[in-house]
Amino acid sequence: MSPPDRAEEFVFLLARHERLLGAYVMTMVPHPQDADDILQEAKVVMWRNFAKFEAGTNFGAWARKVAFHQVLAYRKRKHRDRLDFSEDFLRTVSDEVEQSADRLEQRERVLHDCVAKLPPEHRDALHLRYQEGLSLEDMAPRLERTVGALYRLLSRVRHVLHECVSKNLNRPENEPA
Amino acid sequence: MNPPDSQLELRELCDRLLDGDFSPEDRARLEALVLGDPTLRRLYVEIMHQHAALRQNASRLGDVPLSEVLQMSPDEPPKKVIRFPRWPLQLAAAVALGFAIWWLAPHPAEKSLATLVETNGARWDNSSLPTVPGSPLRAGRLRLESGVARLVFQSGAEVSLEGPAELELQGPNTCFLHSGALTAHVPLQAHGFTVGTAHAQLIDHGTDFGISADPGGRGQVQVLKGEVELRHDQSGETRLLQTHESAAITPDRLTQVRGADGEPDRYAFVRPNSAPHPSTLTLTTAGGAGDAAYVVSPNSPIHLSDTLLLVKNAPTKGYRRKAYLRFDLTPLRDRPVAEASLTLNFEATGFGYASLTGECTFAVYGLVDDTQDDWSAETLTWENAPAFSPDAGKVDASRAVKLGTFTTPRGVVSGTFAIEGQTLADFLNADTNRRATLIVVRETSEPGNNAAVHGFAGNHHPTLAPPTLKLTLADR
Repeated sequence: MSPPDRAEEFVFLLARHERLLGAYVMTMVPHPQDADDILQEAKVVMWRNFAKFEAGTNFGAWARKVAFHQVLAYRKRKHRDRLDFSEDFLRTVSDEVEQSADRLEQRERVLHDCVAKLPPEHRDALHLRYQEGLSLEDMAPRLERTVGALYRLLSRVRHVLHECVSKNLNRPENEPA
Repeated sequence: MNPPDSQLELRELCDRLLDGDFSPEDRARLEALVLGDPTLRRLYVEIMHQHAALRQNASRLGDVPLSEVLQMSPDEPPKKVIRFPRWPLQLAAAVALGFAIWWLAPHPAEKSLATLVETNGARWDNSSLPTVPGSPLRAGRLRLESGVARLVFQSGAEVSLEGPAELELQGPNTCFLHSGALTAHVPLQAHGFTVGTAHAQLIDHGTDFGISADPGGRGQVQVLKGEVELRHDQSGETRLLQTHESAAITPDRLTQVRGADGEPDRYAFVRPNSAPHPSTLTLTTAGGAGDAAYVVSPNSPIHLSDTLLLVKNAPTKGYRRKAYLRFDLTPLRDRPVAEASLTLNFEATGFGYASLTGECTFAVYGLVDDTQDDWSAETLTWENAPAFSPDAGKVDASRAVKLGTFTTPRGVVSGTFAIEGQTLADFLNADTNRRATLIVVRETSEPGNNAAVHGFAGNHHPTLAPPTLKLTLADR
């Protein structure tokens, strides 16, 4: 294949798998900026090594392997933090994601419908937290609620969404086509 | 059933991790829980995945702009350390991979008025609005052929629409029932919810109610609980209806029906044949026997998009694409078409770069050979597609006729594009089997493979309308 085809293939594969990849990094590095940096570095490394990726094999798994090494490399470079998870934890969680990859992708599709079913004030809170990226402190005056109330609200919304997704996951229309 | 305490504890730890003050002690406890119990391990991964999914869908932070990445060749170490300045990158990334589904906030310019929450056995006719559950709905019409669809307005008013029905969304707390029946539940914050019909307006004062309308504009209202106000357009008459009260709407007046506690007489509005023939008609590939698909040239290993129809014309044979549309012309009932236009809603596909894409001309062909109209999206392939031609920018000229072209400007991969004209109208009038197949190809062949793949909404796009024919009908 000529180089431009490789580029296009890479874009296709990445587009297909990058969402779970982002979540994968998040499970190990919950700090959003760090997770973003790692993800960015991982994508560069993936492209650089794309020639070594065997077409037809599992790109998602390959990408996660690359990202896992980037997580380790990032931690090595960075000042050790008492909040960092242990390497044992990282490996365990990483294996868990790998085993659950299909189910997690299904969950994301169902999540879509569950968000739509939320009452407007819950969607507003999600919007400010996730779309605008606001902290709870910045959200409080906008929604006329205390930080404590928002903390509880987001906790509840997360729980409701998780339950909704779990409940709807096995309904026939959500079976993979 | 209460979840075990350890699940609750894990949720609380995750809450602190994501929104609060996560301490080193919390970290140690979280690790112990996750490492010690497979159920909790699974729960942790699901919670964090959900958090990431919400974040990614809200704003696509964390994307490397591919233009940066692909400046390097694979296997070749980068010549300099790449620094990622944060903000412009996010913008670039959003453009390069801009196929996020903005479910939390619709496009600010076109505010979402309601959300389609669920559908029950729903079959949609030519709707101008998306009909996938979860879709945000902007101003426009929903046409439900059968089944029930539930939508929630921004105000909180909940409406169950029963097919066959046509409902027009007009505002965050306002709609217009052109025909069919709906029931509504209006919570406190949505008082004032308004349903227009041809001859009267219903204003809710906090209720559950049902309303139906036939295409001629006659209607029936029944209050299940609470109070509604009815205002008749022509007579100016106003009536308040209470629980269990009903009223009939006719062109010249309102008639209250007391004690109408049984099944409301919904009139015989289900009489499509008696409906006055509109002089304009909108058909989409989602209606009736319509269909929409795209085909990919052989040796292209990757399936691409569920929601967009992709069109590409590249020198490399492996990545060419054409789109096929079929419209069900039955609603025309053999009336001749005077004017016609075809509208396609383009959206960035995330494949290739808009910035590397020049002006592109697209051609729309009409399939003349009616025997080939019976293709299906499931089985359509590059070579069995009607009017097959090996060239990405052409079709078999003996089987199809060119109906028009449109041009997308340099760097533009989204927006609405259309063709119109007599050729299209003539083609539709010449159809013999009430099925019209149109083929969309890109005539402009891009020199490199990095140019954008163009895509427009098919029948399953969550927010954009499917390919649409707008027809003005001539008198017989």
